Amino acid sequence: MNSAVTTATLQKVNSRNLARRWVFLWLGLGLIGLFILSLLFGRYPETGFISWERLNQDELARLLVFNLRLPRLLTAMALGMSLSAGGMVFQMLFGNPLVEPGFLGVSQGAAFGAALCIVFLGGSAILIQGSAAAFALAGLGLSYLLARRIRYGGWVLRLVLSGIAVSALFSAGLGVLKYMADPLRQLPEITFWLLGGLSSITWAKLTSILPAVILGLVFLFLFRWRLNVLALNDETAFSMGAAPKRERLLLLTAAVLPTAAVISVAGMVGWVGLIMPHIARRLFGSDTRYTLPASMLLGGIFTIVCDDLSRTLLAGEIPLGILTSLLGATIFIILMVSRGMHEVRR
Amino acid sequence: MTSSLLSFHQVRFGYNRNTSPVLDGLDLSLKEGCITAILGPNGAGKTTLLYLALGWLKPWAGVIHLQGEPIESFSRRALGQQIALIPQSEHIPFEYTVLEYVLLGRAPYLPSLGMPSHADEELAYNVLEKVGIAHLYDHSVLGISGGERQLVLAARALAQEPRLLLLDEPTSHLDLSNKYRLVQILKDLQERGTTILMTTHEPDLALAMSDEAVLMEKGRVLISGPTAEVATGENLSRIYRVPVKIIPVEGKKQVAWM
Amino acid sequence: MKWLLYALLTSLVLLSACSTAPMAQETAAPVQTRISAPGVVATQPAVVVVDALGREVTLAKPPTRIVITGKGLILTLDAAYMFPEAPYRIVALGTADQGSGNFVSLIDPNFDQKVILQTDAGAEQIATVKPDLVILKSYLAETVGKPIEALNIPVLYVDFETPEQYTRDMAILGKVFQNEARAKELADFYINKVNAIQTTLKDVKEKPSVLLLYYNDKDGAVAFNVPPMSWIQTQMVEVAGGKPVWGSANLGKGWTVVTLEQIAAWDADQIYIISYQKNSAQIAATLKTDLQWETLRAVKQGHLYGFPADLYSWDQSDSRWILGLTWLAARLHPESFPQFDVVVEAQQFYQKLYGLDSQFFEAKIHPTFRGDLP
Repeated sequence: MNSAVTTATLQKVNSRNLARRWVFLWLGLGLIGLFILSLLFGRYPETGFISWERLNQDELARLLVFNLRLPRLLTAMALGMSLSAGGMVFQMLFGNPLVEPGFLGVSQGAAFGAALCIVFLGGSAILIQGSAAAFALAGLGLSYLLARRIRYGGWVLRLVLSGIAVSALFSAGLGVLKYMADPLRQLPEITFWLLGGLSSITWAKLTSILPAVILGLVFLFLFRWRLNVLALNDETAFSMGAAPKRERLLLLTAAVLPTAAVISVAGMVGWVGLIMPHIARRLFGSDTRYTLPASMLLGGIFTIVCDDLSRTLLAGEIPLGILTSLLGATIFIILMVSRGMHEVRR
Repeated sequence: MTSSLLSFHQVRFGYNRNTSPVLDGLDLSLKEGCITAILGPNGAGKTTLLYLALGWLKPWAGVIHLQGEPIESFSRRALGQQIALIPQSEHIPFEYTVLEYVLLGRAPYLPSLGMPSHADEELAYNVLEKVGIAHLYDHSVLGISGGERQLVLAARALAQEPRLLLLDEPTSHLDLSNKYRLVQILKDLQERGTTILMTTHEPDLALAMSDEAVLMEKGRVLISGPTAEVATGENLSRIYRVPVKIIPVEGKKQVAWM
Repeated sequence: MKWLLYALLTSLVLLSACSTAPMAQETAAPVQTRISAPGVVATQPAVVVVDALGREVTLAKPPTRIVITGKGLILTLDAAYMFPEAPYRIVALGTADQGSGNFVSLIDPNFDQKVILQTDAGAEQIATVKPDLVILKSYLAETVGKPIEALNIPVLYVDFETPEQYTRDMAILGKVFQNEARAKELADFYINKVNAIQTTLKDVKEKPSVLLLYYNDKDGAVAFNVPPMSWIQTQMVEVAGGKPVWGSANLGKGWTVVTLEQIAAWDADQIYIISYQKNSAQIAATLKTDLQWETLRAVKQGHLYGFPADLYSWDQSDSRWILGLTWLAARLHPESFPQFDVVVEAQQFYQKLYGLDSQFFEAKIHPTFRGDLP
């Protein structure tokens, strides 16, 4: 045992962890900076930034920033964080880097549940979210059970296939609901559910989703290292002192609840949950101690950028899902063809 | 007289209540500080026995005792600190570094929301040194050879500082040099007091290193006891249905089956 | 190095959003000159209105910067422009073109100074115009209305979907424009016409069965749709002395596609084709020569018609529904309406409701006639 080498190596490991903390700091600062800039940026009174004087003089500008943009940006941040955290948890627990909430029937289930509640149960905020959460979990469960029964292909393929099937089922169900409901009075346009948008966010909507989002995300954050252990197979995780089935269920619930909540107010927004975990892994490796909070920060940044574009690029609103798909798919392509940034040697 | 660390008494277990059990009437006693090898053909129930020893599977009938206490009375975390498993192989979907992966073995010593500390990292690195792969600490677990990966799994189990180490056919994917290395590590562990239980279908490995042997046939123990006495050509031929001869070569016993 | 690339990419995207190249017809709003409005009183009392959703809205003073936008805005707009104050109080509106022309651009002298908003404009874009009142259809309350209300901009909700709602919502507009007398006049116009038709048809025994079909050939495929029973089209057929046959097909709440087989099964006495963008009479003429349509009894007996339209189709609950109703009644029961002349009827409509003289009518409205109209 060469203790000099040991000390040197451990110091290297230490400094690497320190460097990671710096990156985190920058990400966090970036998020905050972006948030503040986005508050002041928009189409009022013309496209550009609202100046400080204007904010002091113009009451409408103040109302715009504090009653409209602030809850909207907070919701965008919550949306990005929830979807990214959800994507990371799914990817780890299912051992599959190609899944996100939208691929496993979670998003579609949430949309269906919310719509079902609006059509048949009158649509109080609590009920809508409860229904969204219930059907989101159902979608996940169905995808998982179905994947176990498929006869061919590797686990990765089976899960994605069954997820597609379950998503399609719920989407069709959404279509039926739209047909049955008064399309104008009861249900936001089907495009809202399929493409997402934050144009109707108010403080009321934000506060209705905050409990689920905060609870879920805090829980996941606290468990960020243990997620590594639970990503191992049952026997191995058990041998390390975990209760694999129970803890995984807890984690999945904690991942699905915020996702269902944000989808019930923002519609379906895809790609965030798929891409941000990938970027996080490129930056920090595979240890979820770092990648989970990193994907949350990245998700917040990404969604705010997309939302900024959706409300300022054109005179009307571009559905959020279109922008996340556009930017998300572009980033995905770049990721796939470029080398990784992480220092792991092969 | 070494005490029994782990014992099975009339254990019956199956995966499906409608079909006959995989293990029945199983009696076993692991002496502390001994290396015990479980020999038997495929499907004899070796891996099942291992999982029962781990505490992961619960027997239909009979009791399993760890240090004299029923195994159910231990908390999961306590079990994790006592017993570790080195699986036969593991599918790893993500690119951890070797050190990160071995660090996972510290989980039983951390609270549910806890995170490994510097001390844990140091311990994990020391384990890597013991296993002889310290130079791979920042390599990706997916970028090393299969044999090296097996050693990583071993290191992870050792990071749990277990009293009982379970191995599931540990040498099945290893080449000769890695096999040799693993045997050295296990012998070294035994000297430090770790009890080892391993399943294998390589009788010569059992003959080379284990003190005790358990021969299994169709879910029951055919015979168990000191390896030299139990692993005879006659017994081995019976459980493997293949004529087997034990030939002494330069004082060591070799298995001839062709 | 890669960080630099990503940062550049992101800032490029953001910069492109900052560009002031106009992407829509939105003009910079606030520096508009106030156009003097007729009949504005010096002392301006508060206005209290109860809207279609039962909300009581108080406006500190009569609104002079009104915005009418969102889905279904045409219904509200065409009702609003029956008030002479409208061109001077409305500052922004959505696109009022269903595919055959923009009525408001014809009759509003100040149209060029108005801001045209995207139909899906959000609260922020609407706020740019600095309105003191926004009028929306009631079903937009949750999605568009609430964010606007969060900016302390008053919002009124109307429907204008059924005859009853016309009376109610006309009164709402009357309060908004401070011309309740006019509102009563307009509501009475509709009520009287409907009553007249109902009285005339009181003793009619024979009610022909009627099928209304909306012809849609978007995306290359031809589809025929029937309206839900709750919509004004159904009521129109009933008041005009007909029997709507399509009730069994439409369990939904929007247009539903029906097959030719179903159309044949209904075997209606008369079939009317509706089109919002094309000429329904031409479509009817084409169908008459279609081999399959030829076999329908209504076609054989010469009762396949194109529903009338000018700039907007007369079948929907836009202000012209009364014209559609009157025309349909005369078609279904010509013996009860021997003096009916649709051109005269239309001319009177535009005169009474929009103050457009016969010259204007002949020049701008009559040429846009589509469907089975002379």
